[in-house]
Amino acid sequence: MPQQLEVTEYDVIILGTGFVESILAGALARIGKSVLHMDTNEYYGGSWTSFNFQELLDWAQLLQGHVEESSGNSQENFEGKKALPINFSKARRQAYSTIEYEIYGILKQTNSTEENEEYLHKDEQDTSEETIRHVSTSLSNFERETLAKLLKESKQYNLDIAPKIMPCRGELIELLISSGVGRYLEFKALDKTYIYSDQDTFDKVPCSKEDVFTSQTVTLIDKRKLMRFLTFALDFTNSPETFEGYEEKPYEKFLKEKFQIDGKLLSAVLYAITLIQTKANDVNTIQGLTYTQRYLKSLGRYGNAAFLVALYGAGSEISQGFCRISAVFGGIYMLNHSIKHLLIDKSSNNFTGLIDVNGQQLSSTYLITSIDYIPEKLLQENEECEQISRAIVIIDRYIHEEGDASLTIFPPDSVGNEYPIRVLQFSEGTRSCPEDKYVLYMSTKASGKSAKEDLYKALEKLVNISNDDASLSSPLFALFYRHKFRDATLSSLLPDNIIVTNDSDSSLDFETATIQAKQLFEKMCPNEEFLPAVPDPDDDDL
Amino acid sequence: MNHGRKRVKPSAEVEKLRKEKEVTKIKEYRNLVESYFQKKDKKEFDNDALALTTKILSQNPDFYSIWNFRRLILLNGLLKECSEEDKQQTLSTELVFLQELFQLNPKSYWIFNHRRWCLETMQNPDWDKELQLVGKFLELDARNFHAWDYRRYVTSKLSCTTETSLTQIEFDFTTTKINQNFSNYSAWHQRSKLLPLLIKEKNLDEQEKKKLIDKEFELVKAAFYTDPDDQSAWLYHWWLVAQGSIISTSQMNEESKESSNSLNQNLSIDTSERIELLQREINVVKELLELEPDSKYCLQTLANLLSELKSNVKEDSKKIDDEIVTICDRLIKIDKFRTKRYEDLRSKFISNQQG
Repeated sequence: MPQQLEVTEYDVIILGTGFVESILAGALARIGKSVLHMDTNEYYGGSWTSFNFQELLDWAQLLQGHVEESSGNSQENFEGKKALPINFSKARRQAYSTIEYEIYGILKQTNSTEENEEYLHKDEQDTSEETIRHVSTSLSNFERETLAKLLKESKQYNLDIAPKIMPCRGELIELLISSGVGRYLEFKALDKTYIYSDQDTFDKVPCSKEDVFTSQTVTLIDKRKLMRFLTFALDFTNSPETFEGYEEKPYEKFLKEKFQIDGKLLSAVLYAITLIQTKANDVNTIQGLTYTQRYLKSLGRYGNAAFLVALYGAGSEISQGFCRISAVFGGIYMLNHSIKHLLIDKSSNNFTGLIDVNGQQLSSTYLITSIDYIPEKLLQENEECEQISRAIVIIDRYIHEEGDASLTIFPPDSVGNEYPIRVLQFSEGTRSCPEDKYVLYMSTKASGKSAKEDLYKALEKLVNISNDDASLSSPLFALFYRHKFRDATLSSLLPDNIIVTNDSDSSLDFETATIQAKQLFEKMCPNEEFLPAVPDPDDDDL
Repeated sequence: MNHGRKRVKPSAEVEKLRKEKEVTKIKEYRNLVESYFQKKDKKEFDNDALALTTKILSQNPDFYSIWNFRRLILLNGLLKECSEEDKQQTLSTELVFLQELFQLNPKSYWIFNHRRWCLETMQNPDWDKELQLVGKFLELDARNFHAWDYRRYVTSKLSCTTETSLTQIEFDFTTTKINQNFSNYSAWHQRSKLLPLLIKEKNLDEQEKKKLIDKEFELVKAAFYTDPDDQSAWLYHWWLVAQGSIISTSQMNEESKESSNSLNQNLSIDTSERIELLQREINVVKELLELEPDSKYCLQTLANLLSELKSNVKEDSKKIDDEIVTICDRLIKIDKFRTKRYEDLRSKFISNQQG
């Protein structure tokens, strides 16, 4: 890669190859804008990326580490413009908190320790030894073995740090189809949803007529109530008389009063079908019906599944797909490239360009960036940022049933949790891990002191943590962390020609992020076509 | 450079081209049929004739006269005085041809008919393969009654040649199909054919029989609770209710068996069991009716059940009449297309009230 770029002026410079930034890169290049797309990381995807096991450990350790202060926090001057320093590492580290991980010893081992050591090749052994030493000196022998094994198969993991699934009908899937980026991706269906009930069991959530009919746990009367409601919800806008007067009222109230849906059934509709992220009262009837309808319309398009899961890590693969479109239409890409300063014109207060790590000055009309690249001075202090607690857990056997992917919901208060906890289970089928393992991605809106505190009790219900229930699957590794959801409200101090993309939010899907990309594009290029189809080279019509 | 936009032909031009193509196609087809008539009249059963029938049938597999002609060609040509191997080969080729045509038209009587002819003409038909094939047809369309009928044909041949019973397997197959989508008249119908056979083959005693039938009631109940508007489930339910009396016929002694074929029983044991069954089902339907007061199948079923109950009990006659009349009134309001039918039914019970 050349150290100095020949062209230093662009229509748009984009910092960060996260999801929203990448869609914009593709969309802008597609309509003929000159795009320079850079990322300080040496990988695509930014905070939406996926890592192999070694990389995940490295990333966790990096975030746990000491926060470097930038050498110059003060504003400088450069050729008559304000030069504001960027401290990407600090900004990114500050977005994460309460990071901790645990390694579990596997008691049910078949290989002896000697076999394990033979197993590793010499240099792999060296790296793993180093990592093991680095990780902790207080690991028991069993734990060291687990870690060694995980490191040995590290490359077979693709672990999402902001895992998301995709509804079969929605903004993103239509965009992937219309833009052609879908051709670069592979998917598996997520067709099973479970909900934790207070009887300490997990019930399969019926959503299609087939599910409702064959369910052994739903009573006949509940089957009728549920079907009547689902039939209405699928086409609710055509029956306004049914929800008249309830529009702004809580969805829960509407369900109880109009459809006599209560108890377990109500829980299932609210948290497993409508997928409410907060509490029932926060969602009004119109919002609730809109989400429910979207879920129902998603069923049947690709079989009996409401969601698709992208292979190899959705955030990373989809971002790369859009970057590829951008590159095809002339976008320039630079990974592993730091930016030192942003340049602001003193009189107009507009962004004019930036200075990169090599001291090269690059200018553009617009800057699109994720928040990590914004100089501290331009960000508003906001302690009230929404936070999301997450966990990535590698386990040795599936939970509930064997399959490519499933979703489990813990309703609020079911395990002492304030907000619903969502658990995605991925597998080798989604290329998230080796064949004999499964991955759990847990998430919830933050409420306690740490991510671990928010999620541990739920984890105990799913896997054999305290080693007393051999029928459950056992965990091998668990990483807990919390991240902020920072959005454009932080950026009111910014010049008009700097466009900020939001962090990944607490939702299970990419819908809000896709909508943001569309809105930002519309703002920048009103009346232009958003990612029109790229002609298929096999088309003989042209 | 087109900047990614497809060239769209003006629609008038497209229309004209399409019409021209069609006129040519029609002309070609008419010529083929003309040739067929000539060959048929001259009794020319040669290879040209065979190729001719292939061409016509590929476009129109429902033209059954062509199939007849094709069979004559085969019998007088390729299948005449040939070895068993050659016969098998020829007929296997026919089967492949039929499979291709099936893609075009999965609901043609004549395709299945010719298939049966081929298999029966063969010395060694592969019934297992046929079963697999019909399984695939039903995966494509679980409601294709041609396929279900063909399946019955194949399984009867298969169980003949292997001398084993496929009843349980086939019964389980209907369960699978019904679980996938119970809105399927053919699957329930198949089930109704197999259930009595299953009971007979397994030699179930009274208790086991009752258990099996009760399980069937549970299954169909789950179906009409899930979707009270699905008629296929209700039809099976009506059949089950009717069966209740026919199956208990075996309890009757020899004389009564000869004299009675109707649903009305004169023996007190059977009557009380019958009444129990009717009452039970009346309660089930009434419960659903509370949730779905305007469900026409619910109401029709209830009217049927009550009417039968009436002929089994002596007391409460007037009460039942009143109930049925109320039901008819409701049906008249809900199901306007069948007003006359309900008025007719109603009149039977009104006159009873007065008499």
